[in-house]
Amino acid sequence: MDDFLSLFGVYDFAVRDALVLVLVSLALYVLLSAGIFAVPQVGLMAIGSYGSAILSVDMGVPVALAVPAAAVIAGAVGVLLAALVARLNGIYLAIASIAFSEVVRVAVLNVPLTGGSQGKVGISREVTDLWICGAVLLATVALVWLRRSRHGLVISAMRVDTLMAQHQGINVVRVRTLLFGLSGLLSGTAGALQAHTAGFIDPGQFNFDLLTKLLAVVVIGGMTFVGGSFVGALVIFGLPFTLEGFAEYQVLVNGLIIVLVVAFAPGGILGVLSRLLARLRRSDAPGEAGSPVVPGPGDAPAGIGPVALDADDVRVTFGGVHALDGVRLTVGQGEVLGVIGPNGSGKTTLINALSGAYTPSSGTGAVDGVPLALLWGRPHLLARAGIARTFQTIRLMDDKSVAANVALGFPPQVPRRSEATRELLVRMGLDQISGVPAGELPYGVRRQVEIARALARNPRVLLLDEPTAGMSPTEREGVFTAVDAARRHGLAVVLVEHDVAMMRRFCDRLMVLDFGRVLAEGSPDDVLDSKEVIDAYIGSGALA
Amino acid sequence: MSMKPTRRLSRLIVPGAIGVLLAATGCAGPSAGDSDAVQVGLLANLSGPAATSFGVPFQHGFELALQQAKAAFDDADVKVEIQTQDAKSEVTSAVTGYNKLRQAGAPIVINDSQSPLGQAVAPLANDDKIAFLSGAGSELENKDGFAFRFTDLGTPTTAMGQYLTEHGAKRVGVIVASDNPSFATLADTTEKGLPGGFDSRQEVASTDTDFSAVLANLRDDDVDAVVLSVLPAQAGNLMLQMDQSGGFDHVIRAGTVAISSETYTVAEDAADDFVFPQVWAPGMQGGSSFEKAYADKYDESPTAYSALGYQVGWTVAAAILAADEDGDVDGASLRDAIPAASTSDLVAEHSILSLELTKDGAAVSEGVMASFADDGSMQVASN
Amino acid sequence: MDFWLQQTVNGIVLGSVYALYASGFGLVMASLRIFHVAHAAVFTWGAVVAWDLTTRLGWPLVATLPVVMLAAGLLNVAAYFLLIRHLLKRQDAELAAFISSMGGLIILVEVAHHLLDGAVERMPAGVFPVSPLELGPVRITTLHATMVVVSIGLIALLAWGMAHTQAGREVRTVAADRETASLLGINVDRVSAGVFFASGALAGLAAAMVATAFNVVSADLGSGYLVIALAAMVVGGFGSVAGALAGGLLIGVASTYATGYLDSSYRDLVVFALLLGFLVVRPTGLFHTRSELARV
Repeated sequence: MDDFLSLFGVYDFAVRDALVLVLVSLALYVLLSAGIFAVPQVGLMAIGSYGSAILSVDMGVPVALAVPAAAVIAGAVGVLLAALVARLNGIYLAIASIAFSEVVRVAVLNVPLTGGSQGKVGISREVTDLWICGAVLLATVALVWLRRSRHGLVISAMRVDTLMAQHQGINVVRVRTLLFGLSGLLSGTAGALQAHTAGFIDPGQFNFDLLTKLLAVVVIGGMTFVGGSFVGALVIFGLPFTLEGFAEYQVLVNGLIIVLVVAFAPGGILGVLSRLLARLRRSDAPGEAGSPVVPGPGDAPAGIGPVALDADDVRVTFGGVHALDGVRLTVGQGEVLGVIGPNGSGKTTLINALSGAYTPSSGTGAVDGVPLALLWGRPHLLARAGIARTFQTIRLMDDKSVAANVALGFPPQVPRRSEATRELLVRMGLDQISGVPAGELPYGVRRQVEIARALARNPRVLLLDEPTAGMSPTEREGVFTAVDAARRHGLAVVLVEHDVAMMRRFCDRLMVLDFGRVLAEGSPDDVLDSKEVIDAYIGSGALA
Repeated sequence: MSMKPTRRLSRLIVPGAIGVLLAATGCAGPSAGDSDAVQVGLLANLSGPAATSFGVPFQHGFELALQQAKAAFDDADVKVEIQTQDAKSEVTSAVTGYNKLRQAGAPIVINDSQSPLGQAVAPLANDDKIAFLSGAGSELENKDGFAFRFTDLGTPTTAMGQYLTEHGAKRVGVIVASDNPSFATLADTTEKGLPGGFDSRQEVASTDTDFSAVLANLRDDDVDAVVLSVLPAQAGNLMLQMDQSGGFDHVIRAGTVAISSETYTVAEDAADDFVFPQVWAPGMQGGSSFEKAYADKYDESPTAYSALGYQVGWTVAAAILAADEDGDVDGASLRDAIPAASTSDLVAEHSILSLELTKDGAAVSEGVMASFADDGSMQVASN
Repeated sequence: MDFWLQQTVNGIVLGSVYALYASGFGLVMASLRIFHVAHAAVFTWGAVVAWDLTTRLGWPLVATLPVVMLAAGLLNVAAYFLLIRHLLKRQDAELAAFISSMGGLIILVEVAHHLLDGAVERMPAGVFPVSPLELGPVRITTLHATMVVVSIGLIALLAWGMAHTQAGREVRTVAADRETASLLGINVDRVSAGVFFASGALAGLAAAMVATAFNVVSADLGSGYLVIALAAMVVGGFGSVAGALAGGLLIGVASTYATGYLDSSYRDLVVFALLLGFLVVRPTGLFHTRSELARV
């Protein structure tokens, strides 16, 4: 039972090696599937290898303890690294993570106990196939579970759109740190298992070439699928053994496959397969379009309640330009505050500042009693404090169903999320299309899904940034009905919109921004008829 | 909805992948060949970075030796077949190739070079009781004595140190590619031949191309000889940069056994006075018939690695004959026969270089001092 | 003192090579937010083309430079169109472009490998009049001195061009926001291709000089500098041309000082400790150019 991989005959070592590398590929998947562009896995793998070898050879720790201990060490280093690079994003994060692997490589060559360039020999080979398969199986099951849990939704949201995820109350830095740890744990396990399978460590192998190989595995299989690592490994490690004489061109072919897959099948092999399967299934069911919005339960208009959001002296500066120059804003429960102003007057900047996308250089006030000073620039905290928003350009997970998109809006502590989601969808009139991927819906319906997601959190304040731009009159009506229903529930609404006529009819109060300052504020009729406002609009030639 | 096919997929993938692998591998593996014949497993790096310098010349030399030994085999009524597997200069392929050779029933496996390859195969060979001859530069795990290394980095390199002392070097410096285990070992063994050790030790990386900083250090340390324990092309580059930056006109330049014709490709005239130890060099005593036979067969001149392959080939032949005389030819009998065979009369008769394999798996090889001729070919160095 | 001067000069020579490599690499990175690793292969091919022209046609180095710059520039433009352009509209454009570029790197290096037959070649002797110069106590070759002057001059020219020319302004506008730039009537594709051309031409020039000065033409030439160029960029500040120069020189001098005063075996440790230190303490590098604004 100990070496059942021998059933692969002469390829037993190759299969063991491939399985270990699948484990590292899964570690790549953990970060990449969450949209975290970081590749420290080769360095973390080296830490696992040397950790376990040093523990078992030099310190006499039994292998059964050394392997998990090394994995935990690599996981801890992963967490530490995440903390070090917390401020970096995008390609800068990628570069920092590659630099990290390089630091590990150089350190290994120079630190005592690692054997320097000679590597380590005579490492106990008592790791059995059961361990390797067990580790891969455990990792696979755990990752599949993670993917299907709410965390899976969070991870998908981070991949699709980090900023949007933050506005759903997700602490992106914390999730990222944990995923770095998980990635380290997997890489470390793989490294330790490799050291104990081969019986020696070749320090030369932990280089950029290994990283390119692993990336090729993940990309070819499908970066967002747990199974992608297995399929990719089959292609990258399997082909050279099945096609004789292929070795000479293998590297070249790998390069070509990578370029072609990224260009034509960004989801990898599994992405293509899953899309084909989905299409087959779709053709069975008749296509369903979005249904009209049913107004919410007819509560009596509650009138305007106590102040929900109060902000004063909000300033946002971009390289010397004052996008917001001391704006004061209050909005009460059940009140709709309309914000209008010429292009570039600071409307969207205001929404971005209030929701945490931008960090104001100054600003006081509170939301639902929580001082804003503690929340500025932290979208997830502002979301948790009760501020929800929609975006000027709709930000949904297009490949996820309406239900999944709305479910993301619920805070983690909500019990029975799927039921709550269903209820909300029914209330919003979206229940007929709950299973349709958001990307396939018409524009107006997508906006309603976004509003539903915003309402899922049961917020105190709803910020809407041009929610009806580019919509047909019927679609507009639907959106305003939904907002009206929310208002009746006592929600405070800040609405940015160009359609002045609609705003006059719909808003309780209007605020006019010009050059980042409040030009006028008051009842819609007073504001829109004031000479200053008319001048500002005519001056900019933008009166709608 | 889009998640469902995915779930189903991931459920299918793992067993599916294993199934495909099984299907692909189950029917593979070489046939056992003639069941009476002794299967000699040659695990050569026939592709990949080690192919041109090590794998191919070694294979040529090895096959030439076994071909010439056929008469001796016939006399003893022993049939010998060579089973060749490509190690592809890579650990996984090397182990897979080794497994195939084991499956083909080979009691002995020879691998030309690369430490990690030897390190991966040696423990398996000990487990499987298969005699394993490796060109690895680093030490191998060897619990039951089945693993032998046929490269002696020590003796010829130590001789280099002595050569420098004899030629009046007072202050000797070394440049070593410290990220490569072989060059670290070579530098250390050269130092053993120097009574005073190195007066200046400069470490570089195998990927370095600019050496002005270490050359400035060496000038500052006022050395009169420099040992280049680096990759062949890098050694050539170093000598060029010595000439270009100046200040090394009267400094003796010495190399290690790792030097190859690649050094001359890069350095050309700058390698004029370069001296380095080799296991074998053209023009060495007793090698002319080998050189001729080799050139006839392969239409090219032999290198040191061809000679090593030839010498190892004869050693293997002698070991098989000795084991056959005592009974069965298997891994254990070959392991016991190899040390004596390496210095046997049969080997001595065809020997072109001195190579003794010891019981503890090490090698002793004297080697020769070589230099580059005007046309870039290697020659035995004139004192 | 003499030794210190000598090692400083050595460090500046080495650092100017790093800087030239990093500035071309960083130009693409800063203006288009693409981690274009295939830059390493373009560098390699610059050296291969220079080697081919000098060996086969017997040209002197100086005559090959314009051809090499043109060839490497065009190769990089081809890389933009074949590897990068179609991915920029994707949601995960940065990751997709990196992986695609990595695929390109693998292909280009492998083709060079086959072409050179895995060997390390050298530029023919005498393509550039190399002779040792002794400036007081300091030794430097004519080629090394030329290399430093050309590198620093080119980087200064690049920095000036980015700041003061119409093309530079267009590049900076595209860097700030591709969509806005296109709304402002800038031909984003043309600007991007131009950036790739300039970056490739710089790489080609650097490669031809490096191949001659350090006697190396091999398929892995460019890849060998990749990581150290990343280090120079981290230290200097991501995406700043002046930062690439400062970072390159700092790393070059730090590594020769480590070799000269500590022990040559500490060189990489010193360089990477510097790198790690910057990552931890000041991840934006010496020249902090642009804050990472979220765009909504």
